[in-house]
Amino acid sequence: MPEPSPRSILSAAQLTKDFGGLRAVALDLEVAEGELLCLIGPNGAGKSTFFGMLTGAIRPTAGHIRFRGRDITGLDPFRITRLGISIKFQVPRVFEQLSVQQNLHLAAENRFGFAEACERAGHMLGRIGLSGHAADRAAWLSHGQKQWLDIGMAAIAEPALILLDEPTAGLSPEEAGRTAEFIRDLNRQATLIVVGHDMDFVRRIAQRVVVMHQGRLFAQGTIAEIRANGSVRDIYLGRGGRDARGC
Amino acid sequence: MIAGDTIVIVGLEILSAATILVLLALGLAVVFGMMRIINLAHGEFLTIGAFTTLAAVRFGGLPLWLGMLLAACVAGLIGIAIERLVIRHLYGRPLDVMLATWGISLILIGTITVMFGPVTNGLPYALGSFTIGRYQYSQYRIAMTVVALLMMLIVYVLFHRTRFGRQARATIGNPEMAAALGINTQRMFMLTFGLGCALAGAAGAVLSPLVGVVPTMGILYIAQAFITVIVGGPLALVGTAAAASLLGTIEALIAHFPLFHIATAGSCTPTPCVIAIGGSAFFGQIALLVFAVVLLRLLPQGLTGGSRNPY
Amino acid sequence: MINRRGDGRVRTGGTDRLAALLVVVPLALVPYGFKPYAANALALFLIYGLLAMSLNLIWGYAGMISFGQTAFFGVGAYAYGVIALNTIGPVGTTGLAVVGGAAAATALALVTAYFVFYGRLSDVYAAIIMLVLSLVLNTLMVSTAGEEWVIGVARLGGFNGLFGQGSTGQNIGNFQIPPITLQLPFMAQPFAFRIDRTSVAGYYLVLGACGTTYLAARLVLASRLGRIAVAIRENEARAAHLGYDIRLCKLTIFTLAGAIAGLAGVLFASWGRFVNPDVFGLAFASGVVVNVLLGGRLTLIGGFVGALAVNYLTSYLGGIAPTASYAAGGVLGLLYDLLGRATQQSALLVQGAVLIGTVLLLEEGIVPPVARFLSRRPLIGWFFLLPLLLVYFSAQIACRQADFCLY
Repeated sequence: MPEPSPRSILSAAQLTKDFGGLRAVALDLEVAEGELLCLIGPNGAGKSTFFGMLTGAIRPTAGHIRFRGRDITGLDPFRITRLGISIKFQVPRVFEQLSVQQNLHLAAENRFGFAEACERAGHMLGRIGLSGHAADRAAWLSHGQKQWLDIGMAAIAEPALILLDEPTAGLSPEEAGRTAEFIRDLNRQATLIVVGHDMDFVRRIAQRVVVMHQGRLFAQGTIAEIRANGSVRDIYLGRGGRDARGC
Repeated sequence: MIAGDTIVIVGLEILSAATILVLLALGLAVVFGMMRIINLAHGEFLTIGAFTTLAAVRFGGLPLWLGMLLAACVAGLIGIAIERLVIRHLYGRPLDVMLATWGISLILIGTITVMFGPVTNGLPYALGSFTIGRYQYSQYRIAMTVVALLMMLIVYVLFHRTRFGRQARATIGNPEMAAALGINTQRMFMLTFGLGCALAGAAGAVLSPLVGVVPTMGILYIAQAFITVIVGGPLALVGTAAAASLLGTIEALIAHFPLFHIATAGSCTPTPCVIAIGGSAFFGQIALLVFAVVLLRLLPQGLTGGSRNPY
Repeated sequence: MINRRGDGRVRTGGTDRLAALLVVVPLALVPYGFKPYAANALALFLIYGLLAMSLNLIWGYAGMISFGQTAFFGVGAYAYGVIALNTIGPVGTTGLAVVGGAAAATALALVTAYFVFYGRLSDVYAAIIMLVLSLVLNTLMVSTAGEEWVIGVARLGGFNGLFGQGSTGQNIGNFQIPPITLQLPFMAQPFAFRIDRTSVAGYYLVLGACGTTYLAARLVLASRLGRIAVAIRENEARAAHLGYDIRLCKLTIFTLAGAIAGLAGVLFASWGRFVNPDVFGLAFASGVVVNVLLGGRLTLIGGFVGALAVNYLTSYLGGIAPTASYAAGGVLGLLYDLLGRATQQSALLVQGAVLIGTVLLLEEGIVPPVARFLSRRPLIGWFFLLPLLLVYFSAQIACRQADFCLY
């Protein structure tokens, strides 16, 4: 396996996932420490599957993932989290019957212990703008507030790498704007990989953009380069690529 | 060396064990294997089938085979009624289905006991037995195997060669899509569930001359039925057949050949007291269970699980 | 119960104190208020309640349904019986048996939990396997009637139940499982906790065990382990992605619950001085689930209350089975006859009806709505219900002293 460059925090080498006869992901990717990488691509490009392999929810068919120099391929999800990767899924997954404060507390307690987790939960409540809702049940929050809570839970334990899968799904433009600011703020302390569909949102936060198509790395560059790339437009419109012509 | 007649009789015992498992599991393969409904009252549909046959033969004077057909119909109708009243409110709530069907099972056992009393009844059958070497083997068991194969054939033809079958499989696989295609999904669920219960009723009827007909008979078999279907995996028919064969083999082998003996303190004649591990039906069942658990550990999706993608 | 203050700590609020008093005070006063045999019957219901509490722990707080708690109950009972029969002669106390019974159940629970949780079985399969465990033990124990099934002086006895027999050559004869007999530091001799005409010590032992277990369970649930368990119940995958080792947590909670069930089994063997394979049977296993469902599975005390309610109802209905047959024939006579037979099957029918009813109608059970009512109107609880209970029991005690009771 080729040695990853010294400043890379995550490297996926020939990472492959097959579902039956379908190759869902075949990827070589390096992520530098401290960068904010946006992962885009049409539906079915394999972005969520890729995230699944990074967090240990899905076992790769072949290939390796190195995180901070350590091989994490195929480890259990909770071990990967403890090593410093956390994830926020596309649909907000919070503990509905617990209060907002308890949700954040639970996310922090594993690393910091009871008392410090209380402090950090209070602090994060302010950062995500839910201080007034500390005692409310998570189930009562609006969709946008749940998204922020979910991001807060992913970030509160101060992981080195945060994966965000479509954090602005279902949000209004102002909410998406606030989310973008929050994400840039998080980027000061952590490396981020963000999957996004909303091009405005991607433009606001992206430093580097990677386009996935049919499981492979199709193109990468700055947002300007990607926008100028005609073949990227094509794959979104369904032209080009190696698609099969079925019946 | 193992004697020739032992080989034959063990082979027949394997066949018999596999047959019983197929009979027990076939209805559940439709209801649980295909529809994913955890019907804990499955054993009671076996019981309903057995008692219907008993009533038909004893009080109606009908021949045995007619009683069995009637058993299937009665069980199917009761299954449809239960689907309409209880199960249809609980789709998508597997835990609640388990609890509700357990409740139905208790009520059914209670009702049957009220109607027929708690005693064990026997069902006579005309077929005798034939001899192989030192052993006897009942002809009825051969007939049972034939009936089991017939039932599997019927299920296959029904689900793969008829329009009803195609629509049923479509509905089970993707109800919303099926509804968009104009299929009456409510009716499909109802009929498929009823079919599974009818199969269970027929199985109970077929098994009843072999075992005593008693209100609590379903309890003994429900565990084996579930284990067979689970070990079978996603492909309901093929999986059930494969699992029944495999598990039946293990069960019959252990039931026939004792493994070892343990000596215990106690007063026996002749001394010393020994407990035989293996060589009885009970240990056959234990072996079946242990084997199933180990198999599931290695193949969590069952025997036919490789045909679908695990993740 | 998760309180509303939302700082992660499960606190015992005012409602819980009231509820505890409402439940504990009457139970403590029962032997003085009612006929002596009532304490005997109630002790059994309390033991069932303790078993239900163990199911509440894993079901309500970790989201795992298990039909197999009775396996650990039965193992605890049989282990206590075997050890007690063998040690009461030489040692004179059954302390070792109590510990041994609970330990045996705990060990089985640990092994089972390991195979189920570390074997990556889905919840549904896990529940079925635990049920199967119970049934296997049932079949095993039923087939132990023969003479060769002997451990020391304890003969397993199959359906006849566990009993002790003298060793060959010394015709001691058969004797029953001894009740829990302990010699605490301040006692001159070993003391047997029995329930009969002269002593209700056994009843208070059971009550004490229930109370202590409840408090201990509350402590566990207030700890980090309890919080992780709740998170698992709410959203298992998310809890894993937050860094929690959910398999270890489930294993711990399950083993703890197995220990509680085993303790209940020990008390059961001591209470009835008799254990037979019925403790592993399906009817008993379903009974526990029904109790928890009725009382409410999300509160720790729900199953306990449910057990008391269901068992009282069943024994009441069973007791009113008409004994004389109705003289007039015809349809009325037949209906009367059927009703009589139905009440004999009342246990099954009541349980079945409760199961279906709670699943379709009353999902939370009866305790949470009552608890919510009391928490919104605490004054009614403190100034009406509690005094009512105290008055009722005072009247009972007084009339017994004066021999002037109406019933």
